[in-house]
Amino acid sequence: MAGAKDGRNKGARDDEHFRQRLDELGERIGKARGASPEVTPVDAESRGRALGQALRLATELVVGVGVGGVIGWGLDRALGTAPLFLVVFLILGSAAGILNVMRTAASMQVKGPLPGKDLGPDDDDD
Amino acid sequence: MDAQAAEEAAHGGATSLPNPMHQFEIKRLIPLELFGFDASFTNSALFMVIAATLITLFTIYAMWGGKLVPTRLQSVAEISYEFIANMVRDNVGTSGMQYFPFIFTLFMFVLALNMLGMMPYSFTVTSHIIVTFALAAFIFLAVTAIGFLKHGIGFLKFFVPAGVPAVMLPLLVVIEVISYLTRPLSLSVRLFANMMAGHTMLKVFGAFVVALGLLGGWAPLAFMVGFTGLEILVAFLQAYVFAILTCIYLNDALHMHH
Repeated sequence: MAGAKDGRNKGARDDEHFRQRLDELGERIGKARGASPEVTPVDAESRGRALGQALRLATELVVGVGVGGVIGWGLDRALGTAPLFLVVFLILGSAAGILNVMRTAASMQVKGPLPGKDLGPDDDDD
Repeated sequence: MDAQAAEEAAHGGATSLPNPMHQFEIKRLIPLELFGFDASFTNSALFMVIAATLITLFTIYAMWGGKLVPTRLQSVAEISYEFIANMVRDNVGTSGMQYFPFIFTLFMFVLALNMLGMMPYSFTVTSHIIVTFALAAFIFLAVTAIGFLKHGIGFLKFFVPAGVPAVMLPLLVVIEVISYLTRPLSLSVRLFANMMAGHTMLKVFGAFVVALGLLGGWAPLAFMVGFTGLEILVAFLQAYVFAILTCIYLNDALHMHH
């Protein structure tokens, strides 16, 4: 900066000028921040968790059907009753898969409000 | 196909993209046969040994001298201890603390394997379902044994849901048993599928970067940078989920409620 060499008065004036420009810049940054919605790290994290939960629910459902199918197939092979047990256990396996999904979803919801209720249990409005 | 042709196919010729599944190939490093079984020392075994060695060296070196005001490395070791200790205490209760060493070892092992897999040219052991299934099957058998040892034959009550009319019971007990049997499979499939899908994606997009070259390669490269970060998160998260589900299963066996 040129002002720094030329004595005190000019230096002080430059300082003031400089501060003014700094304030302006601060204002402009503030405006720009307000205009563009920021993606906070918390948001990305919760999105990652939601994806994890979705995958977890999907595997629970599929694995239930798979295990039921394998049990039915094994019983059929052992007893020679194909396809009786395969059909029965596929249905039972699907039921088990849905049961698993319900339990997993319930355990995920412990901290949130109850399904179908907008208000928490503490709110009393009648 | 001879070895060279196979190698060429794996890395892609001039026209084709490299095979994204090539990274999961098991290679025999020291061929070995025991009692008619193929017990070769493979790249998978090598990375398990590396993981176990790293964890042992890390915990011993970090806690060497055990200062009251921890050094940086010591506080990392202490945080991982506290993290798992709290997890066990919250999910199993103080009576579960006798199983803490196992849960801690399990978490550190899976975490180390997942993280080692994130390094270029390394091998991801947890992307093989037989490895994750062996871990999950051991946990399942151990937890079931603990349940029977703790409650005797009364552990079977775990499969009888409360407050159900007697007519429905046979059906529901079968469903409960199937649901119990799905545990080792869902535990192992979750870890294996996450790791394998992530690494395949990385390889596919890595191939796009090379194939599109200097002109178009930047878009997949930018995606790769973000996705690698996500993969590191997944590597940690899946180790965490594996450990916490083990805690939950252990809690079921010890205290018998859903």
